[in-house]
Amino acid sequence: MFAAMVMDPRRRAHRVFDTAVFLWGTAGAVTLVIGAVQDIRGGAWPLPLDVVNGVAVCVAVLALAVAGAAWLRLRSLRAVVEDERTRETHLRSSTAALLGTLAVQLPFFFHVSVPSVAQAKLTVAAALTVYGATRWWLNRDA
Amino acid sequence: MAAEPAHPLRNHIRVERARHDLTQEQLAELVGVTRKTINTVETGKFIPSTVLALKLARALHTRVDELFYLDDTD
Repeated sequence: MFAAMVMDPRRRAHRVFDTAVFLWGTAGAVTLVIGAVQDIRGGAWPLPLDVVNGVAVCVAVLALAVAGAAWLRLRSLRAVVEDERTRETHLRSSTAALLGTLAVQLPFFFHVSVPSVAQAKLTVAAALTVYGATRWWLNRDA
Repeated sequence: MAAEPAHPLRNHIRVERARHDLTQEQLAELVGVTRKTINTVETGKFIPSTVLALKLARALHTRVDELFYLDDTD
């Protein structure tokens, strides 16, 4: 706790940015999956699903705002936000996300019928989740 | 204890950094990368480009072939 308070401003801004982006991705994926589940179910929204969806939307919007503010802070501190390692991480994460989106299409080949609007949401959710998980995995020891 | 990297490239960055009394953050600023990049290069998890290797050698007042070496035991 004390270490975080005396942390270098750039490092702190980096940490805030990374955490906010992670939260945005997670909350976004949760919202999309809940939306897809509801599209498949049909009918009225059950209260628990509605509440979780509402919270996830709020978290996603808030996290996006915090990430934007942290990014501006990083820019004002003239911190390096991108270099050859981050570009490589992005490329590898994007490749993994592509495989994730392809995997989500597999049920189609087994004649599992899913509404196309739900399928689209699940595809984007898979891309977000796999991209974020891969990025976290590649950065775990950094 | 960290696992040994799969490739045979090793380096003396940590030693040279300590010799110049530089933190990872300060070295990162000198060569224009993030602190995490310096950390992953130091621990052998990320192989830097030739340009970054040259920048690191220049920042640490040494030569690339003194900073990086191949582990011949592999």
